[in-house]
Amino acid sequence: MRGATVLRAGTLTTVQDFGRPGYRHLGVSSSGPMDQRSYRLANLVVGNAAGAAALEMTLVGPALLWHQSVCLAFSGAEMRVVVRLPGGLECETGIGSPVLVPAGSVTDFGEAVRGCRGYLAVRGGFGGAMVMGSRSGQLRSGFPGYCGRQLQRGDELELCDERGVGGECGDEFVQSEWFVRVADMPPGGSQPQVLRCLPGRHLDLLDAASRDRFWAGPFALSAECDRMGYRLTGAELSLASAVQIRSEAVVPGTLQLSPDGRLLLLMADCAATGGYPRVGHVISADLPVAGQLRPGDCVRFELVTMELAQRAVKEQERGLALVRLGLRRE
Amino acid sequence: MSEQHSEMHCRPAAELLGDAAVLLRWEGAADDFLERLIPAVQRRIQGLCWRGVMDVVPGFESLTVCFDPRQCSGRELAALLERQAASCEPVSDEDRLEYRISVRFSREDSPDLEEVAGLAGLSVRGCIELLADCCFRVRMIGFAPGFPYLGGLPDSLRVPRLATPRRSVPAGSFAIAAGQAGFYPQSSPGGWRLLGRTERTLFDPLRAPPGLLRAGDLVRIEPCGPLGVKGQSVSGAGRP
Repeated sequence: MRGATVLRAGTLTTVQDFGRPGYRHLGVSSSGPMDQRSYRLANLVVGNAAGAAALEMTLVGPALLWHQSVCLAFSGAEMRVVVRLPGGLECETGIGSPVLVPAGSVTDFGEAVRGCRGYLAVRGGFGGAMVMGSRSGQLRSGFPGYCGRQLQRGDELELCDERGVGGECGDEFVQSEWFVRVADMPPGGSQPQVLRCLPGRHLDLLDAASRDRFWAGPFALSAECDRMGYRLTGAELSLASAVQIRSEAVVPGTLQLSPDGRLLLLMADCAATGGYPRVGHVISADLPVAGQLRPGDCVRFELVTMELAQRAVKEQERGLALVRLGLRRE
Repeated sequence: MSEQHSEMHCRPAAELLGDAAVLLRWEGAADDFLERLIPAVQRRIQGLCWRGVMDVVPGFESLTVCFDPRQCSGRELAALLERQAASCEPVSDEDRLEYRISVRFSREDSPDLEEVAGLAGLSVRGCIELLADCCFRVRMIGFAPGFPYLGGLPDSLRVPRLATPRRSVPAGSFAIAAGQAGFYPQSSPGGWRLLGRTERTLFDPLRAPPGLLRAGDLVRIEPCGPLGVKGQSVSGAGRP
């Protein structure tokens, strides 16, 4: 079903769903949203099944002209969202709250003031081609999202029409009075975001001074940051003695030490395997906030136990489960 | 090698890669044992379809299992994996698929062939002959979708990576570096030395399964093209 025309693409806008787990042994990264939590929240607010495709909008969002009346929700980075109705009226709309937008409206997403990535969910979910069970855009390999690339001006976005989305939305602009509290964004600037971390295999091979520097931080995200990973600047780290590593699996959250002594934090689109020393692993519960970091933001690493990591991810899940429970219609 | 010694090497050590992956490593075990054992363990674990297990990724001397930390604990999974691995028999020769992949050797497709042959003290022809006689083993897929790391390269062809990687390597390139061979399934940057090129599609996201090769498979290359045609002295001969 015809959904929206892209009037302005934004800095980097891709289609993301849950990603494509189950293909790493073929060298395929799992992809999916950089901030899973905000993505899932946006889908919950419009009543979508888990895994419905949404838009991930990076730093500056797109402007979209809707051809159907739709129910939308927006979550993640703080972006100004303006809805221009067919009659010319402009309304600003908030985060974490469902909104009914009549056909012919334009939703215009501004610049992120805090955080990096906003998520736009539409009731029914975005449509389009799937490969290996997923619509997630993986730009390096050219898998869908939208024709295997980021959105461009003039692109036509499809909707899944399993639910007869258009019919139930009416043709009036309706903004709900309730909202779901969205996750905190990183503080930004020189104030470091703490990322909790489990030790990596080669942490103990750092020389003593490097180990101190690693825990002291802070490290800043360089300009070389994308969905594959973040190159960090800050103190250089070195190993007490060189190690020979044969390529083996790496996962999002892995902190690699590149040969120039800089840290590399792997993210959603990271390759399936790597051969650099691993000094740590950011815990799963902190990957969503890591996905909201922008170039220039600072991070510090904090060592935690496995027990704490497991508790943290379960707590996060309970938070989302509560939202799902509260929104369930009988 | 004593019985005790080899047994010790068969028992992997578990390493937790954060809270969502666990890696089993058979450190120091012989390559010709691991290239049969690891795919067997991989297939066993994939077949078990444990709840919360998402990916089972073979490495040269490791097997990594990625899981949903809301559904599994790494330590418990490690114990289960070790138990499964201990009862796995290495893949037998009958269970290994052998692929014959036609590789074109020509001036355009083989930019590094002459230098590699020189480094190995071989003629270009001799180098191609040597490659045609290799039985490569797929050790793992990584770096990019469908990129096979192939073991079984003769020591004489052990050459370092390029000092400056190419910005773009053509899709299908057959390349070697650091004692390994591989194919670039898609055009990508790359630092390996390009010896030839195949027309075979090694990875097609719309095919099921999308990858042609999997860990544990055998690969032989069949030279073709102006430098690779079977002449009086180029083998390909001696094989069916």
